[in-house]
Amino acid sequence: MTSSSAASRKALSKIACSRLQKELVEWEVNPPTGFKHKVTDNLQRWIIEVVGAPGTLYESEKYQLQVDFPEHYPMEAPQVIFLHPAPLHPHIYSNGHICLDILYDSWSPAMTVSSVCISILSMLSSSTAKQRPADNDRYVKNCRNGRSPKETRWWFHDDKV
Amino acid sequence: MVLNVDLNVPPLESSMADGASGSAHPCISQGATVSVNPQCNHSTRGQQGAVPTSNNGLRSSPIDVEALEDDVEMFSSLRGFSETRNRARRNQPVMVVLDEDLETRPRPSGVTIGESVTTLSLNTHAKRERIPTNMTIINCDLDLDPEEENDAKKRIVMKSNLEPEKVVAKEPTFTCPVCMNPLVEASSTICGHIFCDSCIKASIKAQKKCPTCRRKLTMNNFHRVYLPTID
Repeated sequence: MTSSSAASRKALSKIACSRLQKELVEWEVNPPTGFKHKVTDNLQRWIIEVVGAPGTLYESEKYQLQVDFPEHYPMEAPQVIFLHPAPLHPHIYSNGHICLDILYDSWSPAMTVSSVCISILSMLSSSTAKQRPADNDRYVKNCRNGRSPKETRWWFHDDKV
Repeated sequence: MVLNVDLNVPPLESSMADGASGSAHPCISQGATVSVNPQCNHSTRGQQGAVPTSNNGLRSSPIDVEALEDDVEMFSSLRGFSETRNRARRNQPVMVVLDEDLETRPRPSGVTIGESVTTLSLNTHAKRERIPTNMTIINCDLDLDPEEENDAKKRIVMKSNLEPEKVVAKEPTFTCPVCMNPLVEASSTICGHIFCDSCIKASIKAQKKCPTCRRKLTMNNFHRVYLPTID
């Protein structure tokens, strides 16, 4: 069911563990609007349900995000993908990979799961057309062996959506 | 003066009623002028049938010790008692601040009040830990609890209305945006963003950028800062 190879990653460092526990506590106290963390005992993989914001193309539609944390989180970005079915969006590939700079080049250790979620919802909300990226088929074919989106050389060309 | 008596707690001991000092009762209104002597109660404790006292400066008001005697025996169980005690202790500072306002408004200082709170708390705690178990016990938990909770709520509301500025400022603790813990060896970047020393080091090593504003940074572009303390 999961479309990623991230399972083979290293266990969280002590720093990463402590920080994720803090984030989880903060999330429980103050979750970002429209998101629901599905409780598991796995700190390294969060499954988060997102509901499309009212008044947008995705209103009331439910999707699931899978967030995998690397050993050296937050120095490294988490891997964030949509579980099947991924929303139809010009920057979201049918395999769930998301073309969003903060998940790759522009990640900062001061960002949080919560701030990433808000960015993703913002990206969904600003979409004006429900369509796949132009190069969807080529990209998805390329990823068939379970490549992580973090290995992709992304080209962030669109700052509107 | 409003007589605000916590029925959950033993009343004044007759022999103590005119004593020079006494332990404070956490839920009885009392002024900040009460002097508290923790030793005093110890001397009387343990006497058969003696009820631990709450002599709290209310001597001038008409507390009928005999009448209160009936209300003493309200601890339904040890568990109920300890709950009550915890609740009472939690409410304590609230109560004292409120009373300070009612009775000693001319007093300018909040500091002495705070001190007396501490004393009361310690004293009450010590005393009540050793509440005799030979008291008659009547189970009135159900009748008692709602009342007490309402009472506590009322007090909290009044406090927030009356004395918000009296709260002594707490030392601020700042959180590192990278590790989310309180800052350890606070360090500032040249762009003015503050992190733990080790966190900014690791961040620059990983990304050569400020985690907050993404400004390009090298290992020389941050330094320790020594934040002032409140003293």
